[in-house]
Amino acid sequence: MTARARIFSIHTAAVALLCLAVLSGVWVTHAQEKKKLSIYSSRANYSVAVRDVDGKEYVALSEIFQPLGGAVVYDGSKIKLRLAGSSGECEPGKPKCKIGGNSMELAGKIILQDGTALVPLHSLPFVLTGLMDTKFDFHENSRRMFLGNYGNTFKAEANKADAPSVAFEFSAPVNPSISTEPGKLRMVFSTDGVNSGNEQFKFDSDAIPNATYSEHNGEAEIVVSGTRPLMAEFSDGGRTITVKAAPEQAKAAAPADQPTPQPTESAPAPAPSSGESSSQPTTPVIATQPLFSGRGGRYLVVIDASHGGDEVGATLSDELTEKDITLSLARRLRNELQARGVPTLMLRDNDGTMSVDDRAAAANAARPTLYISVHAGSMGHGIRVYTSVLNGNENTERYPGAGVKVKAGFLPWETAQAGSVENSRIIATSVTQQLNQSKIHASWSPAPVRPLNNIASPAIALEIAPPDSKRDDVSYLANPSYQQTVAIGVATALVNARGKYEENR
Amino acid sequence: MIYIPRNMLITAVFLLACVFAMGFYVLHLKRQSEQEAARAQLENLAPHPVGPEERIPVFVAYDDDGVIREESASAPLSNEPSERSREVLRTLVNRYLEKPSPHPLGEGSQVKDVYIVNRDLAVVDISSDFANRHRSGVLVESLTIASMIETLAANVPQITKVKIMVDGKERDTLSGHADLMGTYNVTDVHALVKAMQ
Repeated sequence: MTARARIFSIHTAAVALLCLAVLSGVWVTHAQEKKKLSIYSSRANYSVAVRDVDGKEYVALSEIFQPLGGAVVYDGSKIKLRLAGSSGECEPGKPKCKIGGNSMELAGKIILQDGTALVPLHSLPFVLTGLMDTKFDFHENSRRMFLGNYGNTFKAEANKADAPSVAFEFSAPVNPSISTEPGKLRMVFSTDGVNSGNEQFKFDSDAIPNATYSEHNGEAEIVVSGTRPLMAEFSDGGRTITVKAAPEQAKAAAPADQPTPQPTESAPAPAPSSGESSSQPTTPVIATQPLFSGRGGRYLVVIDASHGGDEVGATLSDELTEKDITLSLARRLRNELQARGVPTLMLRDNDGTMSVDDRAAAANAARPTLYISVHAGSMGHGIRVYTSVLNGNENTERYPGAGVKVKAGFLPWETAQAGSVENSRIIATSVTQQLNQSKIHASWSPAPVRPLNNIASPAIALEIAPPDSKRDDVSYLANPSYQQTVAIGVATALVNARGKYEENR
Repeated sequence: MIYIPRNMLITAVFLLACVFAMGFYVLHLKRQSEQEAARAQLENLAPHPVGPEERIPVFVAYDDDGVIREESASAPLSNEPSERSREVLRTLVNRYLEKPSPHPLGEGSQVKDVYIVNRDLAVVDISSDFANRHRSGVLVESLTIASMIETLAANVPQITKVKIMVDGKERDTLSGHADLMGTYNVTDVHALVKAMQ
């Protein structure tokens, strides 16, 4: 073999290997996205898995019928269907069903797989509406089905005022996953039933020129484009999402009264990014208005699901890490608070890395009524509520005039919490009492947990441990029922604590 | 073809072998000296009998109940504040390194040194293993920090503030939760220990 031929062979092999790697990457990515169908109705909004059988898409009838109050039974020869007072039957292996006495041709045969009856996705709306006697709107390409007149529609209006913003007003409360990237804010609606006839929204605003609506794999997505960093705020009990652009002057280093939303992959909130996780923001927190009012003088709760990304927190078991428990619990807490009309802001809504200083900076920029850091641990039992170890006198000594009733002046980063620690304790005590009244064991104490000292608003940390009856079962922390009980307990406690907090303002 | 005399060839091979042998010997010496230095450092870190044995109060964390209890221990103490602080903390850490331990710390956990600044600030330098192998959690990390600071303050009353460094450097948290960036006020920690008793 000549030298030239050898070089050619090596190049060919390298290119082949590269192609193989790229192809396997694409295949893995594709394989990881599981197909799902979302169904929206006045009774329930939910998603089910879509299976590929013989090149056709199928769904399990029982998974579809149960949330709608129906039932699917296989009696050994036929599959009996019952839903909304009507009944029908299908024969496994045949592309026919008899619904309400009428024979119906299906797009493919009914399959019985491990005792589960599968129906072709294309024929599902006909089976359902035949039984329910209702109309449907099936978006087959995106696998989204609206039954009856259900549909969470929305309108989008721009506000060109001081801080340019666009308000998305929905006909029912929504709870999307929100993420940001440079120039974009993405809201993904999974079970909210969001529906729109428009795909493009144009706004008369330089800062937020347009937004797009699209659907894919059982989800709807609204992507808002902006020429400045964007952030989202919930209001009206979760019916309105206001997407705001950062003020122009915020491009320079800005204090806390001029929030500088910096998009991070993990946070919908403004989060100044720093190169190193341990680096502190160079701009101190400036308080130019009462710290206890929250943004716009209303009650806003910032929820911080601790850890995330490479920083897993406590390794609770071989399969369970603290970062997963905190995210799941924080989402439940957000839902429960929003259901009670309390506006919330999640600092982390995906598995992204965010330093504690960035979390504190983002929370301070939002100027919340309350900051809650969510943690999970295996020691002890129940819920431990923590407040800062600061005694409240730090800034009064170093900065005369600062302290509990601070109106203006710089706050040192390390003791920014000092002026709010009294209110933090009032809320922590109230939350603890409320939880104990709800039969959830809770205790309160100060703790040196980051970043409580750096938060210039009332701030508490929650550490969830398994209940007393499951002390040795750390996996119980992942139990949805336990998490939901805790989320409801904490949300109720916070709503009830609001009264005591307001009294102290 | 160039002709190399046989004696020259033998000399060259011999010299090459010598170079390799010397290289290996130097490597061996380097390793030996590193091991000796590490051993010397460990000896330096071990508690020194710098004074008469004294009974001192130590605040020991108990994981089972999540509490801190005051106990007494014997330690050879000096009147020099920085040496005294170091020995007091090493006594506490040694208690945690015993088996069974009420509050286990990771292998290699050590208090490397304590520096007293302006008479009232103690800068505690802990080993990287102390932080890297510490269990993660708000409660477990708080117990460690609180028991160390309370023990220090009880035995060296002039200390009113404590800063904890890891291997001579600042670090965000002990193991993901407890604050190591700030400086602790002994009075604040005292309130925390009271809540944990």
